[in-house]
Amino acid sequence: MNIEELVEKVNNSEISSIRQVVVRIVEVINDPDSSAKDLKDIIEIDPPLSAKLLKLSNSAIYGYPKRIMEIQEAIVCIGFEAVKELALSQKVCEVFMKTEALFDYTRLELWKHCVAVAMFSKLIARREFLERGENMYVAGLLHDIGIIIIDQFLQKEFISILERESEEKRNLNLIEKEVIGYDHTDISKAVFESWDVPDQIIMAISRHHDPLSIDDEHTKNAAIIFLADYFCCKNYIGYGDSTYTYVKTVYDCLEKFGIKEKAMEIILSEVEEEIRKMEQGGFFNG
Amino acid sequence: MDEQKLKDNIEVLEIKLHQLRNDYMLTKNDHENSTKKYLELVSQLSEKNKELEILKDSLEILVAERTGELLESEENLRHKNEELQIILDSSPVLIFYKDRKDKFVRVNKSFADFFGMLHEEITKKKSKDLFPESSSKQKKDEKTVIKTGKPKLNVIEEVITHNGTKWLSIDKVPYKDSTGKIIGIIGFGFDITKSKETEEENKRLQDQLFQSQKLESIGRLAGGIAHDFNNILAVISGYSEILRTYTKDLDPKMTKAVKAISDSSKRASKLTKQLLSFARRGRFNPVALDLNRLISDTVKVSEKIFEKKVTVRYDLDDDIKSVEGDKNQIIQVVTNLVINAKDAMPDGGLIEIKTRNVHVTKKQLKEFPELNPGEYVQLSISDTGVGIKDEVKQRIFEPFFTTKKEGIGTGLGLATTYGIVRHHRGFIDFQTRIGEGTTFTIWLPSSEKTVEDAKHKDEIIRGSATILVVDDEKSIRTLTKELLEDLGYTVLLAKDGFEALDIFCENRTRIDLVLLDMLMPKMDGRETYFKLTEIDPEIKVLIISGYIQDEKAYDVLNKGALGFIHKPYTINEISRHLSNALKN
Repeated sequence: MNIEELVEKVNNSEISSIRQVVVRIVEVINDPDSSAKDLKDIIEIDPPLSAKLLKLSNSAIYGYPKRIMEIQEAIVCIGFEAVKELALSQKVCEVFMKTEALFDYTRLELWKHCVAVAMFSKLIARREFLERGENMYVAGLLHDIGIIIIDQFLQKEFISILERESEEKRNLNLIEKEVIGYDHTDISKAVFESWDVPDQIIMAISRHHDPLSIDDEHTKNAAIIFLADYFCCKNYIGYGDSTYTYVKTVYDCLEKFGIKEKAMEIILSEVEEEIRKMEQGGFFNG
Repeated sequence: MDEQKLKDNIEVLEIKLHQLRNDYMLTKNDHENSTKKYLELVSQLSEKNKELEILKDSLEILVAERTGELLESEENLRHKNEELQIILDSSPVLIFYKDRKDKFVRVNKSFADFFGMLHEEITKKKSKDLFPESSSKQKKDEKTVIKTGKPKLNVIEEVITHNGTKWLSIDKVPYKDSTGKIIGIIGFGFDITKSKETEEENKRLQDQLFQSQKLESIGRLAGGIAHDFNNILAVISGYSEILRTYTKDLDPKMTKAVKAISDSSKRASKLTKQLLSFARRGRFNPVALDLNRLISDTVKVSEKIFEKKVTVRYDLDDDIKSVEGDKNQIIQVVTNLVINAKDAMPDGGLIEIKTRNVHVTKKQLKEFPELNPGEYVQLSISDTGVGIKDEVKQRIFEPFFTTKKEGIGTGLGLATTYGIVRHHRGFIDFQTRIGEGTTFTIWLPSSEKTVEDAKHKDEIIRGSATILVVDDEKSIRTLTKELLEDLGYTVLLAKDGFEALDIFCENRTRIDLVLLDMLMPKMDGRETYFKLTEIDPEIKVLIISGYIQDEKAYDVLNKGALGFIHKPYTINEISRHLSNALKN
């Protein structure tokens, strides 16, 4: 199956059901004139998402003393940023829901990885680049969606890919390319281009395994996802596909952007703490 | 080693500081943005509030304006209503508007004034209550207008107002609302009482004119016949007169026959005289007359024959002016009118005879354009009798028209009266009311001449002068010659004007007087007179005629003729005239 056929299949499948919410929240993120009311309208159009959101808003993670009854209230009480992230993560979660263990891979574990990478990426952007980091959160959340697509539409190939990964101890994307001719970053890029996701996000996702091959305006974002992915995989937060990454690329990246290794460790400990809280709050229970 | 650890710790702390500073700055930035947005929102809100305030203010202004407009339009409406009433009230036309139920909604001043009511007395009242006497045709007319929506114009209605009966010409128009529905009736009334009266007056004048024209033509016909009759009668009576002078030579039987002929011809002559009077062609011997004395003399005689039930009252103006007229004719007029007055009162009553000096205006003489306005003597004779019926009024002056029993009236009384009055350049009129009586009034032009004592002499005055008799009719010539020769005169005869001139020229020194007939063929009396005066301005001429064409007789008399003898004449008449004329 070539990549175009695959994109068509994706767009005719349930996966495309997240498209509208995701794209519209991204629009809110990137439009300085957008308001909390826009976000509220996007969420309220999707009653299951709204219900999930209200449930989580009232969880211990946010520790709000009163019961939150409405999305509008949630935005006020737990924050605009938090609701945006919660909405995105819960919507994206819908495509990771099937629980089927293949070796150490499960979709839920992959999703936890994605949430961690999203948080990590945002923190790098904020702490090291003094940026708001919201687009990096989106990119982190979506960076491995290509794997889910392979899982769903190229299951036979996916199983062999996973077998080879455990045997050959190589990063998944390299094996994907050998098995099906393109890797999950290519798939993500093709799908998100058809969804009109902003270039900034698409490029960060599509180049997250090889951030430094091209030096342009997207290099920094790709490096952020790359670093976040690397540290999450290395520390086994969720399922990691990039456990065998060359450490040299990591150091090149840190050096290129003047980031100290210790800074990553500080962020990592925050992310791990956050993930743990989320696990306790039932965040990953689907 | 401790130092290394310390160094590491410091590094971690520095990194943390760095990270926290960045986080802090981002958060601060977000916070600032939020605050900015919040402030913007608040200021927007207050701006909105201000706008709201302004809107509220303008709304209040608008409400006030609308209220003002409403009040103004009410005021306008009231003003328009007033204006309409002023316009309506300014119209001399009677304007009214009634609703479908015959109720007055609006009327104008002319309408209210016309009926002598106030606005309030009329509006909201039904027409049938205000005008109970209005005709059913009127109501039907209005119903038709409302039903058909077609106007009825020039409806003539007689209405009773506080000023008496009036005539209105009314245009009745359906009153439609803006949707065309008929909601009532609008009327425009024009007071045509005056023109109606004028119209009636004109009709009356027309009738009178027609009447006088009719009388004129009857008169002409009667006059023509009477003239011929008169000539015949003149011969008959003349010869019977001659015969009577010789009665001593005749046997008594013949004497009686001659007397009968003479009497009959006298009676016939009287009749033709009356006819000629009516025809204004009668004998005309005008003298200045005192009407009061004439009335007293005449009526006192008649009074004696009146039954006791009839009283005569005199109201005579002591300063009454004289009138110029033929005494006998005027006596005839008074007699006729008094007898008619008496006859109108079979059960008795009061006759009032009144004389006055009056000034007659041009307006009063509308019917008689040939008469001149000025000073007149007015004589009226009133009775308290039965009055004259309408159908009789028209024919009252016609000859041979009478309401009296056969044998009592000739039907010539009033006709003669009319003729005589007109002949004297006067006029006659009457007012009558059935059951109340009649007043006949005659007007005769007054004269400045003083009244002479009439000398009534029946004696025959003989003479010896030479008279030229000019007459176209042989029998008259012969008769006249014989009469005059009997009186001692020498008579020359001429059969027409030309012969008269010839004879006069030949015998100028011999001829003392010319007896000239007025009506002759070829050259008439007038022309002959003028030719004669050319020859001898001092010439003495007496005019003689069966009747007089006013102008010619007057003309000749005015130009110096000494007198006028009416045919047929009696011996003493002609003897008196001749002796008078020759005395001058």
